[in-house]
Amino acid sequence: MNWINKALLALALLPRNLYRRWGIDVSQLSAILTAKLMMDDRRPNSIHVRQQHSGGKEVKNATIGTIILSAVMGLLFLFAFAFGNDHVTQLTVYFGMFIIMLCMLLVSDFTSVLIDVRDNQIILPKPVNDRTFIVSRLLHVFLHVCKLVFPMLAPGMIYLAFDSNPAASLLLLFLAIFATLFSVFLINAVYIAILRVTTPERFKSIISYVQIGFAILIYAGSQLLPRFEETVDVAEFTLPDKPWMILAPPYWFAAAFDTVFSGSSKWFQLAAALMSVAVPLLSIYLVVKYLAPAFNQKLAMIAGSEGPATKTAASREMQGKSSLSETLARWLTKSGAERTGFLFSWKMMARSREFKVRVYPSIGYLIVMVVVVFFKQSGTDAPDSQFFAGFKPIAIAYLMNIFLLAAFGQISYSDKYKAAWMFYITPVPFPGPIISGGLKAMVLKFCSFIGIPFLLFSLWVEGPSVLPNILLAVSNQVLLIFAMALIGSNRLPFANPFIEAQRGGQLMRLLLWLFLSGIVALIHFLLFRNAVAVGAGLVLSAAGVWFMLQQIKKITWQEVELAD
Amino acid sequence: MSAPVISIKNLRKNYGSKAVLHGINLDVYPGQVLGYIGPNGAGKSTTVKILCGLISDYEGEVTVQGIDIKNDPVAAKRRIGYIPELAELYDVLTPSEFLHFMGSLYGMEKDVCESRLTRIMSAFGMQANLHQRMDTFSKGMRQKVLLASGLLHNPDIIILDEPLSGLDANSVIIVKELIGRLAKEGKTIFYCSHMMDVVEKVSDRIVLIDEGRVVADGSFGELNQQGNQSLEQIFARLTVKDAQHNAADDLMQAFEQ
Repeated sequence: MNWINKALLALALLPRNLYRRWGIDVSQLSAILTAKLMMDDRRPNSIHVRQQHSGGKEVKNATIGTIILSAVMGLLFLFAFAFGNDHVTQLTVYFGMFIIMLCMLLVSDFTSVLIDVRDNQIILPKPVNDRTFIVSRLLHVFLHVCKLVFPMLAPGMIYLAFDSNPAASLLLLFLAIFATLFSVFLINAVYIAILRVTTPERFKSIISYVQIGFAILIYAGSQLLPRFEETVDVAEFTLPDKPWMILAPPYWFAAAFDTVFSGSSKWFQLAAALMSVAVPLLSIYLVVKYLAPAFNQKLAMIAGSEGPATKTAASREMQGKSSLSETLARWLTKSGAERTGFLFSWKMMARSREFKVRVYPSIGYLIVMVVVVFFKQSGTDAPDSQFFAGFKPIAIAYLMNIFLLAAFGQISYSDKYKAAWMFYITPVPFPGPIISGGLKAMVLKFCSFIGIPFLLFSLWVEGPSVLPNILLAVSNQVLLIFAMALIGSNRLPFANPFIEAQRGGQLMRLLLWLFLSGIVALIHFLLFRNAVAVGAGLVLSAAGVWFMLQQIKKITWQEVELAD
Repeated sequence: MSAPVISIKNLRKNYGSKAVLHGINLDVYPGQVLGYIGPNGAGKSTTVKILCGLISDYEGEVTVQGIDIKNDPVAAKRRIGYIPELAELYDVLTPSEFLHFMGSLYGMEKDVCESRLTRIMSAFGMQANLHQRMDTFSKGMRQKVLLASGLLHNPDIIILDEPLSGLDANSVIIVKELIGRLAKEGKTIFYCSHMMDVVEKVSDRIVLIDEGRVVADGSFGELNQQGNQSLEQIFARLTVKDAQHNAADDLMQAFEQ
């Protein structure tokens, strides 16, 4: 254990005598917390959802990584102080960001780190009484939250200490503790609510969607906030000084700060200040008294073999979805291995949680880019805007393929890669058709998810004249992806462990793709107003796609890297 | 005979409206190796979970060395070593760290724990792996760590649920021999398994349950009154309702056409 964890452990065990009076076995408590902190240190942290399982390197001192990342987030919060120049506005924004960020972090950490279902198997059969067990869990949550909250607050506190005085930064800390209690309550309530309406099995998928949302939000935030600052005069922005502000929780904490700091005496500000302390205390009482017991019980079910509910869910899925993918497969693939590859990849992409968690965040990057490209230049400047006019949607079509590339980067990998034995033991003469089937499924998914909605959108914005150009752009990207598949290591879909995903070649491939993509986009840009050239390009590109597919189908077993 | 170590009286358990155990009665005495067998879904795991204090909403009385599990589960757990089937481990820890953690939950002294875990793991041929993280371990290696974690505090009662899964032949021999030696020292072994030949060999008393009821209870000799039947055959005779040999016929017919 590193010194941070040792210090945290010592802190948590400080009220020994109190624990003993409650009937808690302190040495067991210490043992559980030690083991838990040690494990936290070796687990990749939640902010890196997509990089989990990265490399063969063992994770060490993840705690320090978490702390540094939290501190960086804390730096982003400083943006709040660019707003207006009254404390209420600045701190409402500050606490708003703080609460949202903390909630996001807690959601993604709660199941995997804090409520470890293995505890039921490992700790419960041991002679540990209920109180010791529950207190160990609460303390673990507390320590984890400490690791997130203090570094996150540090930049804000330092800023306030210099901008106002040290007392102000202590006040911020004090109020942030209540904001933290409030966030923990919110998360608990959300968890209970989710578990009410869904089966524990589904619960895990919902959590992974939250993680996806989290990744998107962080990226969008980091991209859009600075731009927002450019376009809107933030220094002029102030929140309305009205009673209904009391409906926004971040306002309570800001109001409390202002009340103490500058002695404001508006009735609703006083009321809000009061709520900043009262609501968290009340909500913590609710959590301990009512929510937590039911919560632990329900969570235990996630691991439990509560059969019937999950079974019905599974069987329902099987009946509904098969027909669509089979129809598509019949249109697009020849029978045999290619159709199998198509159907297999189609279903795996739709159902594999880890594939989604790794690929979907790139949709967020896309949305951000679309917003940036489409709406930013609506302003005045840019003499070159005339020059690029009309090419914008086409440029986006090229950018969009980041999603395709992300999917391509992940399609050969899976946590359950060992299940790929089915490809090796069956008498398939060439793996090529399986690979081409998988790629077809991927491209089709991409088209239906992003391509078609985008196409409709750009037809609506730019008119039908843009159609051949968009088609050419998409076809070119598909051509590039297929070419990469051909020169790459020709891997079967979902048949390799993630560990390898990190290894060297990946970056080289990415650079190569960017380079080629840039060249193709440039050529396209030079030609895009010439309808004849675009038409010819489209025919050539489509022919290229077809040719690549034929080549991929010819891939032999010797060319495929086998896992294990 | 001395007082029973484990005493189960009229044990009933329902999951919702579905009854899993319909009144199990069982007394187990010191030094016995009890083979607890039954078809899938017969209620074996439920019984074991109740014995280990993992399930508390049951009807009936279960005592371990005279301690009622419902009243004082912690005291009962202290006397039991439970080795679950293919259980989870905190696999980012090393065996040494994990076993120290387990030991301290049983309130063991650090030195005692250290020397015992080193010896147990060495006996299993894993001294070289003591300080490696378990996430790369094979099934058999994990099972050895689990076995060690159940034996570490030298419990009087050892509950084993399919303890041989994933072990290689040599380790299987070690574990089988170990069971006999532990019983000789007066420990009580509660052995759950589907591997009839092993149960037949290691246990001196066999309890067969089916649909939540005890359908046979006795030594292998007593169960095998017709002579020269294996435990597998006895098991089939007692638990198969619709003649099982038809299943193979049905399977063969699946290929006809």
